Amino acid sequence: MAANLQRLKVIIADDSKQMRSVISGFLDAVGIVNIREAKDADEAWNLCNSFNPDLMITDWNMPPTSGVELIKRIRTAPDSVNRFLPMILLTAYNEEHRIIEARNAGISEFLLKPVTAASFFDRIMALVEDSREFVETSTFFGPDRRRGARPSYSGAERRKSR
Amino acid sequence: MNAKSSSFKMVKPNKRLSEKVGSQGGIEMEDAMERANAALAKVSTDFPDICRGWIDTLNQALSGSEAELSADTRRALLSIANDVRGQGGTFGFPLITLVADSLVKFVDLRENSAVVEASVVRVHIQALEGLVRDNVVGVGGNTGMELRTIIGALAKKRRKP
Repeated sequence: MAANLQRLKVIIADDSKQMRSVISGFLDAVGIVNIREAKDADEAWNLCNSFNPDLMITDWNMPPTSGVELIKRIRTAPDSVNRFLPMILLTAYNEEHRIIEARNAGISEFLLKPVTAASFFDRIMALVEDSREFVETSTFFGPDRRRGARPSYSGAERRKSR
Repeated sequence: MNAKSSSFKMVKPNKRLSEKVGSQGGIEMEDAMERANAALAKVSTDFPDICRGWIDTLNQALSGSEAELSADTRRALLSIANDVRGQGGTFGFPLITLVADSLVKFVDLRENSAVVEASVVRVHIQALEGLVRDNVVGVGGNTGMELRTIIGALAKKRRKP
């Protein structure tokens, strides 16, 4: 039986009209029709406040404010309405330093362009099944960046003791 | 316990996405894929025109650069080339992504510490122009093979910082 995603409210933030159309088409294909589009980070931020989304999909490269800055703002700003918002960063930046920067900004999922319908749906379902807790430190707020069990790890499990 | 670890806290999200997702009545994945690919095909027809616009912008960013590119020029080229890299393959032009990926790796200051000459960028722009002009979709047969060889040879001019 297929998961029913119809009740989800989604924001797409991308400065490319064509990419917004692609993502909107992908969402529509799985039954998600409650969609708002933003062409820059400020518009997306305002929509977060007024539309109360369940999920946001954002591009990285959208001057003047990047998608990564937008994610950081949603995760850490005192006036953010949902610091736990699931967010997918959709980008062509595949270099290791960029991926680390994105994770440290608090992304929920990373999706590389070129994007396919299959890779997109895979990330959406990963978010639906995501049961990670969030980590809060003086420099970070976001989903736990450690995924899965690490059988070879023999050090102290500091997080478990809390 | 040091000061750094003492400021650490695990927090449960106030709601989960799964709470709004029903277990029944959704669209079967096979149907969803078909609908999604149809939506993508519809938007893809605009891509060659969009890519021509990017090529113009790349040429503008390069104009006036005769030899070694400045850091500012490299940053300007990077931003455009990265957009081309992401969208080429998305819209059925993987060779455009291949060329743009090579250009990104040349101009990204964090990926290449070697001097970048304007001529190297021009080679990439000319390749993009050819791919758009000839509407080379998919892997591109002989053109694709030749292009991969050229890109591979060019890569030797880069140096990891």
